[in-house]
Amino acid sequence: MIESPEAHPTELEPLARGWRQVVDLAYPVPIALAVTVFATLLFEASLAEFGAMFVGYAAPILVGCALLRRRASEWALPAIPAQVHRTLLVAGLSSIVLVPSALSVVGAAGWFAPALLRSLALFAVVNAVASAQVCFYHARIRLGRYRRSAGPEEVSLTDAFGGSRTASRLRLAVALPAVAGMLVVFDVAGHLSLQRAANERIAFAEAAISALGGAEGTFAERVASVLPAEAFRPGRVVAFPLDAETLGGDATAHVPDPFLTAVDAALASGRTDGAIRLRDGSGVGRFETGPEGRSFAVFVGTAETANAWTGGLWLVFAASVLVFAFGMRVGGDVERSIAHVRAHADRLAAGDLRGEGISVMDDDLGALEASLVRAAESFRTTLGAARSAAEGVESTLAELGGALGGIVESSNVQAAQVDEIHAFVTSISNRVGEAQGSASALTTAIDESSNSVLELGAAGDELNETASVLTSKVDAVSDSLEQMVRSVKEVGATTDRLAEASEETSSSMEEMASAMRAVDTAAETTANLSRDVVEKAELGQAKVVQTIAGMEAIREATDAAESVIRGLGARTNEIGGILDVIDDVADETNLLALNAAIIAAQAGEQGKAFSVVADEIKELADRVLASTKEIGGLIRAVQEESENAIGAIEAGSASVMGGVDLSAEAGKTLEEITDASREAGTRISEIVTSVREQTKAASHVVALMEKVRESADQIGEASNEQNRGNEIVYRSALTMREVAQQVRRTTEDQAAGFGRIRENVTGVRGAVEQISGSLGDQSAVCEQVASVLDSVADGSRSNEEAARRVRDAMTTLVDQAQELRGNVERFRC
Amino acid sequence: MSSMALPLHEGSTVNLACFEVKGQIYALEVATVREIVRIQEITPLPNAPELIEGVIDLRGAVIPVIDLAKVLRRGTAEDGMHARIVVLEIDGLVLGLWVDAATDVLSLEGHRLEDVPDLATQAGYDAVRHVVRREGEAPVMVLSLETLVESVYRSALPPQAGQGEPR
Repeated sequence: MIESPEAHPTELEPLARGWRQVVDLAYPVPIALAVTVFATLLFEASLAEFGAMFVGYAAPILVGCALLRRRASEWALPAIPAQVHRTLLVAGLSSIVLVPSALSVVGAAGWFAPALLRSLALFAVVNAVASAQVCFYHARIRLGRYRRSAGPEEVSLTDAFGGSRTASRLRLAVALPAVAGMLVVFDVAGHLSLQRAANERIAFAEAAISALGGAEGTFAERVASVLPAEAFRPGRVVAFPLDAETLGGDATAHVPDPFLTAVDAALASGRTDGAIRLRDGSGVGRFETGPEGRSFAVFVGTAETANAWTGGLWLVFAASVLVFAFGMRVGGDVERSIAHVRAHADRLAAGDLRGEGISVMDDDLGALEASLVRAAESFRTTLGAARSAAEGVESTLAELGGALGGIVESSNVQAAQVDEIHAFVTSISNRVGEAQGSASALTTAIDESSNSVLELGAAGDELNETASVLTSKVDAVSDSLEQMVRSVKEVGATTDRLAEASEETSSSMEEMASAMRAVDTAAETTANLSRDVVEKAELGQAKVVQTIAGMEAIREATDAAESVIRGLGARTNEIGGILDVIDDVADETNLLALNAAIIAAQAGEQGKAFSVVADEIKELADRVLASTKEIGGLIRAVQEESENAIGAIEAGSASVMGGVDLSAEAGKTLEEITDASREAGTRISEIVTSVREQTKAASHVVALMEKVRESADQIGEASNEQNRGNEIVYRSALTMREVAQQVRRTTEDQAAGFGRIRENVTGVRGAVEQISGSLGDQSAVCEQVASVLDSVADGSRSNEEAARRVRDAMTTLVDQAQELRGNVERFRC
Repeated sequence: MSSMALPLHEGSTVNLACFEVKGQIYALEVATVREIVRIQEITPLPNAPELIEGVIDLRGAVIPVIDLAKVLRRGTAEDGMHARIVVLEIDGLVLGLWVDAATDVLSLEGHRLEDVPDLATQAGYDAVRHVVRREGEAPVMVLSLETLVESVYRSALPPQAGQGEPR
C-alpha cells in the first residue's frame, strides 16, 4: 500500500519508496505461483510448461511496475530508481517477446507439437490473468493519485474519475482479459483432453494385449505377436479403433480414411512412429512400427473422447465465471467508495469544515477520506488565523492612511516651489529667445532679399515654363488640329460610303418594289383565276344537278317503256293464242275438205261439183294455215324483239343509275373544288393586301433613303468646307509654334542670368545663418534647463498623483479587508 | 287382189288419196279410203302382231291401227300436229293407217300411173305398185293394198308358220 507522504515524512527515502512499490506490486506473485501449480497439476504440465506459465504471469506485472515508474510524476507517486525501472522493463518485455519465440524455436526443432501448443496456451492464459491484475492495480493507483494531490477547489472528484464511468472501466479492465483467457483455455483444454484420452486408450490397449498373453518386449512387438502375420502387408497400415469389442474383430473396421492416409504419408516421410491429429477435429491417434516393418496405428474418435474433456471445460468455465464475478464485485465496491468520498468532498466544497458525523471507510478510499478530514481541520485553524490577521491589517491600514495624508500635503508644497523656479528659468529663456528673434529678423530680411532674387529667378523660370507650356499647348493645338483634319476627312469618306450605301439601298428597294408589284399582279391574276374556277365549278355543279335530274327522267321513261313493252308482249301472246285457234279451225277445215274430196271422188261423176267445192275449201284452209303460220312467225319475232328491248332498257336503266351515282360524286367533288377555290381566293386577297402594305412600306423606305442621301451630301459639302477652313487654321498653328519656340529660347537665356544673381544672394544668407545658429544654441541650453524644471515639476505632480493612488489603494484595501472578514465569518467552525 | 285393179286404160280417171310418211308422198285408191281422222289416243293390244300399234275407238267402232312407216320400214310414225289416221275398208275389213299428214286427193288420168321397174318387184319390194311423176313436186308412190294387207297378216302369223313359207 502507498502511504501518504505528509503522514510519514521521515520514511520517504527514494530507494525505500521504490522497493516498497515493487513489494506492493509483487503481492500477486504467490497467487501466480498457486495458479501455475494448479494448472500444472490439471494439465499434467512439464517443467518447461510450468516455467512458461510462471514467466507469462510475471511479465505483465513487471511491465506494469515500469509503467508506474514512467508516469510517477504525473500521478504524484514516489519514483522508482532508474536502475530498478530499467531492469523491470527489460525483464518484462523480453519475457513477453522471448518466451513464445523460444517455444516456437523448440517446436520447429521437432519437439512434440501438442506440447508446444500447450506451452503457448498456458503462457497466454496466465499472461491474461496477470494483465487483468495489473489493470486493476493501476486503477487503484489512480485513486491514490487523487488522495495525494486533491484539494476541493483544484480538482473535483467528478473530474478526476468521470463519475461512475470509472467503475465501468474497472469492470471492463477485469472482465475483458478474463473472457479472452476463457476462450483460449476452452480451445486448449479441448485439445489437451483429447490427447490425454488417446494416451489412455493406448494404455488400455497395451493392458488388453498384455492380458491376451502377448510376448515380452515393446508395445509394438506385443501387438505384432498377437495379431496374425497375414494382417500385416508391406506398404499397408494395420489400424484399429481401440475399445474392448473391436480389439479382437476386424481391425480396420471403423478407422476413417483420412487418418490412414495421414499415417501412410508419415510413414512415407521416414517416420517410424508419432501422433496424428485429424484437421477436422474428428479424432486423434498414434502409429508405431513393429518388427519386420509391421506398422499399425490406433485411432480415437472425438465422439468417444467428448466426455473425457467436458470435465476440463466445465472447470475452465467455472473459473471464468468466478473471475468475472470478482471483477464485478470489485467494480461495485469501488463505485460505493467513490460515492461516499464524493459526498464528503461535496460538504467540504460547500464550506462545511466541521468534522463531526463523518464515518471513514476501512479501505484505500477510507484513507483518502481521513486525509480530507485532516485537511479540513488544518484549513479551519488557518481560517481563524486569517481572521485575526485581517482585523490587524484593518487597524494598520487606518494608521497608514493618516501618515499618507501628511505626505500628500508636503508634496503639494514642493510642487509649488518647483513651479516658481520654473517661471524664473522661463523668463531667462525668453530673453535669449528675444536675442535670437533679432537674429532671426536679420536672417529674415536677408531671406527676403534672397527671396526677391529667387522670386525674380522664379519669375524667369515661370516665364520659361509658361513659354514651354505655350509651346506644348501650341503643339497640342496643332496635333489636335491635325487629328481634327484627319477626322473630318474620315467623316467625308464615311459620308461618301453612306451615300453609296443609301443609293444601293434605294436601288435594292426599287427592285424589291418592282418585285412586289409583280407579286401583286400575279396574285391579282391568281385571284381572278380562282374566282373563275369557283364560277366554273358552281356552273359545273348546276350542270351536274341538271344531269342528275335528266337521268332521273330517263330512268322514269325507260321504266315506262319497259312496262309498255311488257304489255305488248302479253298482247302478242294473246294474239298467238287466237292464232292457234284459227290454226286449229283451218286444220279442221282442211281435214273436212279432204274427207269431202274423198267422198266426192267415191261418188264418181255426181260428186264432181262437190269435189270442186271441197278443193276450194281445202285451198282456203291451206291459205289460212299459211297466213297463220306467217302471223305466228311475226309474233315470235315481235316477242323476241320486245324481249331484247326489255334487256336493253334494263341495261340502260342500270347505266343511268351508275350515271346518277357518278354525277352525285362529281357534284360533291365540284363542291370541294369550290370550297378550296374560295379559300384560295381569300388567301390570295390576304397576300395581295400584305404585298400592297409591303410596297407602301418599301416606297416609304426609298423616300427615307433619299433623305439620308441628301443629308449625307450636305454633310459631305459641310465637311469639305470645314476641311478647307481647317487647313488655314492648321497653317496658322504651325506659324504660332515657330513663334512660341523663339519665345522659349529667349526666356531660357534670361533664366541663365537670374541663376547667377541667385548664387550671390545665397552666399550672404549663409553668413547670416551662422549667426542665427549660435543664438539658437544658447536658446537650446535655456530650453534644456526649462525642460529639466518641467520634469521636476512633473515629478512632484506624479508624487502627488502616487500619493492619491496610494490613498485610493488603501481605501480599496480597507474595503477588501472588511470583505475578507465577512467571508471568514461565513465559515462554520 | 285382182278385184282391186285400177282402171289404167286411156280416158279413164283415177282418184288417189295422198299422204306423207317421212317426207315422201304415198297414195291409195280413194275407193278404199272411208275417211281421214285426226290422230287420237291409241290403245295398245296385248299379244298383237308387230305392225299393229293398237286400236282406236272411231264413233263406237273399234278398229286396228298400223304404223305405215313401220310397214314401209322407214322407222316409226310421227305423233305431230298434222298426224292423221287414214281409215280403210277392204272387203269388210276396217283398218287405220297412221301417217305423218294427209295432203291431198288427186284426180288423174289412168295413163299417168307408171309401173315401178321390175328390178324392185323382183327383189321382193312390191309394196309400191305405181309411181306418178308430177312437175315441180315430189313423185307420188301408189301403194299396193294387197301387199300392205299381206304384210299385216304375215306379221300376225305365228312365227313358225311365217318362217316356213319361203319368199
